[in-house]
Amino acid sequence: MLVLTRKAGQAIYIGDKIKIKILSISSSGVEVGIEAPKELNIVREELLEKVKDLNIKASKINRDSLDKLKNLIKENEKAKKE
Amino acid sequence: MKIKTRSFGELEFLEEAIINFEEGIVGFSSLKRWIVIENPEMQPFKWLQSVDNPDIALMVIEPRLIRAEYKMVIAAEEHKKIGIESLHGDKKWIALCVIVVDENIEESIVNLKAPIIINLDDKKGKQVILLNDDYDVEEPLFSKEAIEMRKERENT
Repeated sequence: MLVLTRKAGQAIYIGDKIKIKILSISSSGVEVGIEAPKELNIVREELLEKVKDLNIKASKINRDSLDKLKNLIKENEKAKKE
Repeated sequence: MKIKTRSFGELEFLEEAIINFEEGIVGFSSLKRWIVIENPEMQPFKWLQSVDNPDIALMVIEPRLIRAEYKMVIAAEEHKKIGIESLHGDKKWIALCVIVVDENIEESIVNLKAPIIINLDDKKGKQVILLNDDYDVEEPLFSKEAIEMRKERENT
């Protein structure tokens, strides 16, 4: 990994279209400004991790919960008809 | 084509039904081929079943059934990867959101922030993270009203 030291107000370029600027530094965090072409997807790492965790959890659905859900659907259908 | 799945037993389907996920689905990057399964008993839920790993299936739902006004803002590079110029173009597509079923069914959640978009014409899919901030990764699957109604029914 390339490591650079930057002060508030300083920036780096990745290629000629992506600019990352350190806006401010405080005890609560570092504020980063990003200028990049609109077509690029910029995502916080923890959000991607969360999506991954949820997908893995979702794939582990058990029979029991599935049966409960099926019953719920049946109940709803019945309630609609009544 | 036939596969033996954990959730649905033996499944037979046409090769044409396979949706290609070039990057897999988040968390399952090596699983590139999936099929959409609809089971009348489970309407309105659908399933995404991995063809490459028969043990992996995800329960999903179309987000408009949860939020009628559901809207998606997606980065252009994501559009390109799915082969859809724009969501308002000619290509037929569907969005499916992953459901995490909780042991306490009413606590189940649906990920409205990261829908899986499938280009039905070209059989390409990708899970995207929406640029708009309208939804969370963990939204309740059942509304408070629906849960209340169910309780009332149980009490009568």
